Amino acid sequence: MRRRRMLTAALALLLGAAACGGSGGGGTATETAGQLPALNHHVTVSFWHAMAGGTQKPTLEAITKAFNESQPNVTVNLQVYPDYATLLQKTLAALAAGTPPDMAQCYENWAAKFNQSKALADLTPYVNAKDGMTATDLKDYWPIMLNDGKLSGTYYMWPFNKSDAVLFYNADMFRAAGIDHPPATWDEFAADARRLTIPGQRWGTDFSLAGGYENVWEAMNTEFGGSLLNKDQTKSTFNAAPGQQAIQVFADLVKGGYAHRVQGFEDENDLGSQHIGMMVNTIAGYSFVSTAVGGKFGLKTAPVPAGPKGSAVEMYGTNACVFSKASRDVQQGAFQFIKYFTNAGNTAQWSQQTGYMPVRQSAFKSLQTSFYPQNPNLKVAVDQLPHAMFAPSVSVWDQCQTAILTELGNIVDGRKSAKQGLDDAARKVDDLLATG
Amino acid sequence: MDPSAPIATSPAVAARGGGRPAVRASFGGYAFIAPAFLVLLAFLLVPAVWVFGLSLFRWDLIANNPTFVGLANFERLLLRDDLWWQSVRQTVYYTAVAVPAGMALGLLLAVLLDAKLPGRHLLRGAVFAPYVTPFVATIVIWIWIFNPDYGVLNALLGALHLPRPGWTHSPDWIMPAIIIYGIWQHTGLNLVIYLAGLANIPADLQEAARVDGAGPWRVFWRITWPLLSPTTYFLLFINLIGSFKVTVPVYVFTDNTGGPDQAAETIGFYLYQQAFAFFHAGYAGAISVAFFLLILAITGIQMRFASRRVFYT
Amino acid sequence: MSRRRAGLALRYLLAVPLAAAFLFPFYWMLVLSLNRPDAILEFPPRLWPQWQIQNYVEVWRFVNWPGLFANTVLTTAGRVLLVLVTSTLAGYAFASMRFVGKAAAFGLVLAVYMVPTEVTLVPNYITLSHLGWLDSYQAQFVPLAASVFGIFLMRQYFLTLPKDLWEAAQLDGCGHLRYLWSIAAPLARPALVTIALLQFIEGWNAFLWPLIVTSTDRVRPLQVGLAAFSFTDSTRPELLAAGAFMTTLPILIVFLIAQRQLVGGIASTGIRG
Repeated sequence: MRRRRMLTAALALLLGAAACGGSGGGGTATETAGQLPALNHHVTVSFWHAMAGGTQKPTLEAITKAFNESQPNVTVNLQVYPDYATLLQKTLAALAAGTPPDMAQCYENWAAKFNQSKALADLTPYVNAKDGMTATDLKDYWPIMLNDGKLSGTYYMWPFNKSDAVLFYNADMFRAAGIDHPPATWDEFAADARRLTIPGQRWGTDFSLAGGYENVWEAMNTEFGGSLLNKDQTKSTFNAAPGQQAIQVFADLVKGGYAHRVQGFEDENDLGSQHIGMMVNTIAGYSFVSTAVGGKFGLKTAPVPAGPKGSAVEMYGTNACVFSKASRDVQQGAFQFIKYFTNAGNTAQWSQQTGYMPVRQSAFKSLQTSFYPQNPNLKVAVDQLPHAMFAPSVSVWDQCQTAILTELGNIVDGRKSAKQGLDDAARKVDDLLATG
Repeated sequence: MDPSAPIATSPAVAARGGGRPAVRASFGGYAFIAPAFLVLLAFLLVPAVWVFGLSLFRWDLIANNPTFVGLANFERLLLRDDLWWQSVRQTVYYTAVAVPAGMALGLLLAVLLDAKLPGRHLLRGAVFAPYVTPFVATIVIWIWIFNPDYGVLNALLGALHLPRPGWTHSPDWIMPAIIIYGIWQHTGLNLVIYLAGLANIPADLQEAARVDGAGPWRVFWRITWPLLSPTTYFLLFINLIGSFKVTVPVYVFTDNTGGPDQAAETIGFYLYQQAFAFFHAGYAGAISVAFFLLILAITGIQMRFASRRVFYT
Repeated sequence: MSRRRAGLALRYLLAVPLAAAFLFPFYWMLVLSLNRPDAILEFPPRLWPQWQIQNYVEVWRFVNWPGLFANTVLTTAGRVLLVLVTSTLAGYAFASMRFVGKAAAFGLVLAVYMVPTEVTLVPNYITLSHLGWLDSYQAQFVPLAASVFGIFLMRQYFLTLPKDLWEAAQLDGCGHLRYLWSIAAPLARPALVTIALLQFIEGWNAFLWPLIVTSTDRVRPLQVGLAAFSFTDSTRPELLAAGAFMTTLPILIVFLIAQRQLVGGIASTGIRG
């Protein structure tokens, strides 16, 4: 897995806004004419995913096993990849060779790319099939997640493992430093980071040159009042003042020695070994952070600090998509698995074990009584849903993010000013958007 | 029969003037080279040519709609692609440092070990071991050695009151880190081949020089070094091309990102990314062509430059 | 006499620390692999192992080592075998047989040697997919079944064989193949062993190509599995080090046993003139 790959969710409606309006999906399961009968013979479904580490892999395997054993018609075979980048590469390569898997995890802009060659299967017939979704089911999913699964208004993806960023912090360290509550704004964040720093021993926080931090900055940019691209998605707008102010927060902290500049997932190790007091990262990393913490201190989560213009968090995590190369029966079988995995019980279990958000409102409600009281850390992510935002859904966005991340690194390390770095990034992004 | 000619397949062949065998008699030869040629053609030559053609197209492998764009890919590559030029500079940087350093170190060690030294084979083995061990396994450890905050290298530097570079976290120091790794990895090969080269130098030549009063340094420069030139030339050839193509260390050291500020991006890695991360098949073809031409140029220059300086006994 | 002693002492003085420096990363691999969790993040780092042997047991939970090991053995064996066969045949032909276009063919081999393998990755991938060989064992070694270096080496070796050997065999009624199999190849054993050892090393350490052509753990080799593990879970670096050590140990053992042969073989290629 590596849940916090630089790609992020996109509001699918942005993509085909000019195209058809509300068609596709959403009908009730029992009424539509031409409705597919329930699957009645055996199919095997190959599912490529990146839920590779921590508790993600065993939990997915357990749910899959339960699914396989619970009914006679569908057997799902899992194939895991170490991270999203590899998953994308493998899937693209397989598509090029004409041998894609039957279903896979995918980000919204991956799906956009896949569907350029019509590689994805329209899920609507299976939603409406006899063994598909009822109207109650459909209403139970968080609307924002369900809509996110649409391309041009049609269901090509289904929410699978969704997350957003939270603030992880060491409650014991905070208390010892005399800080009585986690920072609610970025100003407080900076102040807390300064208070927590003990030169030669520990820093207040981290900034890691990993994709997840580029996403954090994207949300910060919104919180400071900025945007990423113009309306047509042809030009960058993120290099304006809000974007600069956002990254300046971290640049100043690193420069002052209050934030530790690291790479990859070293921030998790730093928090666990008490070399930092707090970090902002995706809730999907919760099981990894817990492992790193190993019960040595009180680990808590809080909402991501707000900016002058309010709160915003980016939605991460992937959806599931089914490939059109698979036969219709296999596609239907794949959707059966998706349906099972995202039913209230399983999405609750998935969330409890991995930290990802439950994709069903009923699951969230049941967790509120049964689980969150003892484990408040995971609730924070869902509470932030009203502030969720999405990254642009252009198919080259992951390359754009790489370019931006490079420049964020330059800024944070003091090699370029915020303006210069972001302008350089904007140039690269504009070039990518043009050459597509 | 001419002693330097290869063995003829039949006496009838030699009877023809000029010694060109009949095609029919060539069948045996063809059969013997066929397996190797089949593989080399199918998996090396044809793809290499194929990729040249590919460079004239714009093709996003999955969309399956190649469009002919002529030289547009090259235009973009040479005129508008900053990352390409950055990767060229960085590859040259890597090669220019790693190759001489690795060869010099290999030569030094070879000279040191070129004696009746008990335990010599152990010492040689120690230096050669990195060459045979898998990249991924050793790089994973070197990443920790280079860790700026917790790694043992910076601990050592700190203890010696020397500055502690950011290594893999810093765009200025990540390439030096990979270079150090490359030297560690390659010196063994240079050592082994130099040892063989030294062993081939007749001892009496060196002895004679010493008897004439030449100091060890003089002996080395006037006798040993020139006589080693075929070896040096050979090693230079292997090292240059091998270093120029460096890809896997970049991949593993930078976690498939190319490093902070893309500072570790080499041509090989850039090509891999374009071909396999982004599936820009046509553009990757153009990069391949450029890469290939660069390697040819290096080889050509080296051949011309060095061939004048190689001495054969 | 004492001058010679001094000379030797000087050599040791310089060579031993250098050799130790070269060995250090292997020592460090061992130390890290035996660390307790979190120990890696202590500063300054501990130089001596903490003997947390259970790391080696725990890492089995995360990665299917026997499977990866078997895959590696299989693909490496395939590679070694095929390269030996193709190199011997072709090397012999270039050294000892006459055929039309021989110079051109040899020139072609030389030209092919210049082709960087990165250039061939995508086309080969597509070729393999058309053959239906993706995610198979053979995809990992058939494209690598011929080695230009191997051909050169065998050719060189065969060129040194005395002509009367062949003439005598011919008089006895031997054809090329028989001669090669019974006489020439056995005489070229050092070259064969060198090629086998080198191909074994390359096969064992193979990473980039298997990474590209395999997608499932069923056929993946050790290095790809190890890299995947390193990308996945970085909260347990000591386990990663244990995994690294396990994939390195077999080849270190082979190296220790065959060092003389390997070094000798490589050395013999470097000497020209």
